Amino acid sequence: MIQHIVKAYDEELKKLHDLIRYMGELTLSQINKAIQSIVDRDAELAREVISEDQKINLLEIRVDELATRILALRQPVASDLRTVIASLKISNQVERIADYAANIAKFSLNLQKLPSFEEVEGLPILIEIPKQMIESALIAFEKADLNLAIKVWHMDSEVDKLYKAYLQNLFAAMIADPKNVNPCTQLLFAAKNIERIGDQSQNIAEAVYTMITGKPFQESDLAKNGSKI
Amino acid sequence: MAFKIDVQNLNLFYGEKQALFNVSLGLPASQTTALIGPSGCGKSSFLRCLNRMNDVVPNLHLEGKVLLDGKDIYDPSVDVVDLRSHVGMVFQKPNPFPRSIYENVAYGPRIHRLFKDKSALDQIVEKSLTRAGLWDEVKDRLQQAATRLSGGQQQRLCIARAIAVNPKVILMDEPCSALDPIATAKIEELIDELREKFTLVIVTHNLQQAARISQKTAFFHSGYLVEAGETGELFTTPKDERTQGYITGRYG
Amino acid sequence: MTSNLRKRHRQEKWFQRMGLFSLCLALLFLGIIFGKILITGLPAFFKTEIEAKSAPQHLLNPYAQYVDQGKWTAASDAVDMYYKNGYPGTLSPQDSQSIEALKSQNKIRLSFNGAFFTHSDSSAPEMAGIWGALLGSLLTLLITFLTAFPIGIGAAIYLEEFAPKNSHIYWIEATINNLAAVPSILFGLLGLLAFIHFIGLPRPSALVGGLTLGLMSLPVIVVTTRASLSAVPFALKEAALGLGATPLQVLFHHVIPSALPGITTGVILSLARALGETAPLLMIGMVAFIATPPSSFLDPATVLPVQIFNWSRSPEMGFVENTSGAILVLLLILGLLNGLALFIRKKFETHHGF
Repeated sequence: MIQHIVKAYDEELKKLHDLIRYMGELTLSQINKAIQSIVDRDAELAREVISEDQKINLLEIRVDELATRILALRQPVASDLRTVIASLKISNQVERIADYAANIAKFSLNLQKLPSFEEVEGLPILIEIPKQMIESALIAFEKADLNLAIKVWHMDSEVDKLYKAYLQNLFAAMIADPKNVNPCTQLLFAAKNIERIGDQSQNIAEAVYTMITGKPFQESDLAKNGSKI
Repeated sequence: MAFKIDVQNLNLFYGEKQALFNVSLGLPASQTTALIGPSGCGKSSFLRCLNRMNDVVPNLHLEGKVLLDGKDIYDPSVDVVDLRSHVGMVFQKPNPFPRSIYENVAYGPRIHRLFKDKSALDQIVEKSLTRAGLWDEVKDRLQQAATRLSGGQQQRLCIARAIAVNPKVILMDEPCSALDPIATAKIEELIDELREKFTLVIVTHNLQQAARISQKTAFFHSGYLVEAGETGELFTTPKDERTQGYITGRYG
Repeated sequence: MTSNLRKRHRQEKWFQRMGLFSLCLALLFLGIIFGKILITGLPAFFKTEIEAKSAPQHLLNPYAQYVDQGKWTAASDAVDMYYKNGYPGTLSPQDSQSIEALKSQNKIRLSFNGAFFTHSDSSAPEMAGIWGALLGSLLTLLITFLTAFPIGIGAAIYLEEFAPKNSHIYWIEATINNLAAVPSILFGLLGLLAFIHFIGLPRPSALVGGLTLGLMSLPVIVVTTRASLSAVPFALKEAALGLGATPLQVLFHHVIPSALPGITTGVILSLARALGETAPLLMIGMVAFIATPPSSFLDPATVLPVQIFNWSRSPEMGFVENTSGAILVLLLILGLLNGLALFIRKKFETHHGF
C-alpha cells in the first residue's frame, strides 16, 4: 500500500502492527513453555509462564492506548479505520490466548503434584495446529492476506477433531484405571484450553477477514470466497 | 430511487481542455450529497453546472444532460434566471451585499416578485432568517449593515438569502472553509435541518465534514467521477483504490 | 548572524530616512512656490483708489476720463504699483510728490478689489478681472462633463462588464489606455481638425473648448471607471447571479452602487485636470483677448488658465499681480474639487466584509 502523506501516521500504524506482532511472539513462547513444563514436569518453567502473563496484559493496554490515540488524532477512515478496529479486537483475543497459556501452566503445576502420566504426550501434538493458526492469523493481519485468514479459519475444525480424539483417549484411560481420573481431569482442562486457543485464533482470522473486506464475517460468504481459492 | 437532479453523461470543456469526463450522478431528494476530491478534480465545476453558474465562463462547452425534476436545465427553452430561483447557491466566502440584513434576504424575493405587499415580504424575511437559525441574533437590528455581522453569521445570512426564494436545491461551495469550528458546527447543524425541505449539494475539502453531514458522497478525480455511494459505506469500505488513497491521506 | 541582523536594520533605517528626506525636499519646494504665489498674488485682491476730483487725470485709470466712476476711482497701474510697493516705475518725480500729498490728505486708499472678480479681461491691469474667464471655464467644463461623463462611463461599463474578450476589444482597450497618456496638445490638434475644420463650429467658443477637453478627459474617465468597476468583488456579482438576478440587475443593483464613489472621484479629478488645462485650448484659438464675458456656448470665450497664460505674457507691472491672483483662484477651485472627490470617496465608500 502507498504510504500516507503524513509520515507520523504511517509510523503509528506500524507501531500498532509491531505491538501486536510482539504480543503474538510472546504468546507463542508462553504456549510452548506451558506445554514444555507439563512434558518436562518443570515447575520453575510453569511459574515463569504464569508471571510472564502480566507482560502480555500490559501490551494489550498499550495497543488500546495507541489505537485510541490514532482514532482521536488521525480520524482514520476506510482501510486505516478497519486496521485500527481489527487491532483492538485482535489484541484482545491474543491476550485471551495468553491467559489460556497461563491456565495450562497452572494445570502443569497441579499435574506435577501427581505421579507422571503418559497421556501428557498427546498435548504437544494437540497444540501444533493452534500454534500455526495464531502465527498465520497474525501474518494474515500484518500482510492483509485474505486467503491466509480464510485458511486459518478452516484449520479450527481440524483442532476440534484432534481435541475430540484426545478426549476419547483420556476417557479410555480413566475407565481403564480410576487412579488416572485425577491427572486425566487436569489434562482435560488443559486440552479444553488448547481447543479454546484454536477458537480464539479463528476469531482473529474473522477479524482479519472483516478488516480486509469491510464486511462483517459470515460463514456463508466464506463458502463463496473459499470456492475462489 | 427518484433523483431531484439527475446528471447523465456530462462532459464539460473549457475551450480545448476537458474538465469533466462522462459524469453520471443522481442527487437524491431531501438528502445532502457531498462532493469530494483533490483541488482541480472538477467537483466545483460540476457543482456550477447544476445552476449554470458556468454560463459566464467564455468558451465553455457542455455535453450530456442535467435533469432537474426530469427536465433538462440546458434545454434552450429553460430561462437561466428562473432556473437559479429553483437552484440556489452559497459560496465559499460569505458574500452578503453591502446593504442591511433585511435587504439581503429581501433581495431575491424582490427581483423575482415573490410577494404581494410589505407585510408578506416581512414574513418571508423572518421565515428565512428563522430557518437559517439567525433570527434571534438579528431580529432587533434588521436595518444594520450585513457586513458588520461575524463570518459565521454572514454565511448563515447568505443561506437565509438563498432560501428566501424557496429553491428546490441548494448548492454549497465549501461553505465553511472560512469559518471557525463553532461557526462551522452551526452551519453543519443547519444543513442537517434544511435537508428535510431542500435537496443539498455541498462541495467540501473537509472529509470529516462530508462524513458528518452527507448521506451520499461522490469522489471526483481529475475530471472523472471515481466513486459515489452511501456516505457511511464510502468512508469505511471504498471500492476504488483512488478513493481509498484519497480519504485515508495516501493521495500521491 | 547578529551582525547581519544589525546590518539589515541599519539598511532599513537608512532607507526610511532617505524617504523622509525626499518628502521634506518636495514639501520645501511646494512651500517656496506657494509662498511666492501668495506674496505676489494677494495684493491683486486689493487696489489703490483716489478721490477722483482731487487728482490729475493721468494718475487715474485710463477709462476714468470717459466715464464717471464715482467718488473713489481706481488709480492707474503705475500709481497702484507706487502706492503698494513704493516702486516709481514710469512716474515722474512730480507725480510721486502729488501722491505723497494725496496720502497726507487721506485722499488715496487701498480697498478690496471687487473688480478683479466682476470684470473681464482688459488692456489696463487695474481694470482687468477674471469674471469672463471664470464663466468661460464654467461653460467649457459643463460641455466637457456632458460629453465625457456619459460616453466615458458607458464605454467603461461596456468594456468591463459586457465586451467579449477578443482581439478587437483588446486592441481598443490598449488604445484607450495609451490615449490616457497622450500629451494634451494633441487633443487640441484633434479638436481643431474635427470641430472647427470639419464641423465648422465657431472658433474660440466654450462649445469647441468643452468638446476638446471632453475628448481629452474621455480616456482618463474610461480608465478610472473601469478600475473602480473591476475593484467590485466578483463574489458580490456571483451572489446576485446565484439568486437569479439578470446581468443588468447585477450591474445596476450591485456593481455600479459599489463602484460609484470611485467613479465619481475619477470623474471629478479628470474634470479638475480639464479645468487646469491650457495647451489644447491654445490650439483651438481660445487664447484671444476677450473683454466681454460669454453669454452662450457659442460666444467667444476664454478660460482661467489661458487667462493666466495671457496675463503672464503682458508687459505691465500690474499683470504680474493679476497673474498670481488668478493662479490663487484657480488653485483654490482645484483644491475644492479635490477635496470634494476625497469627501465623496470617504463618505460613500462601501465596506465589503470580504
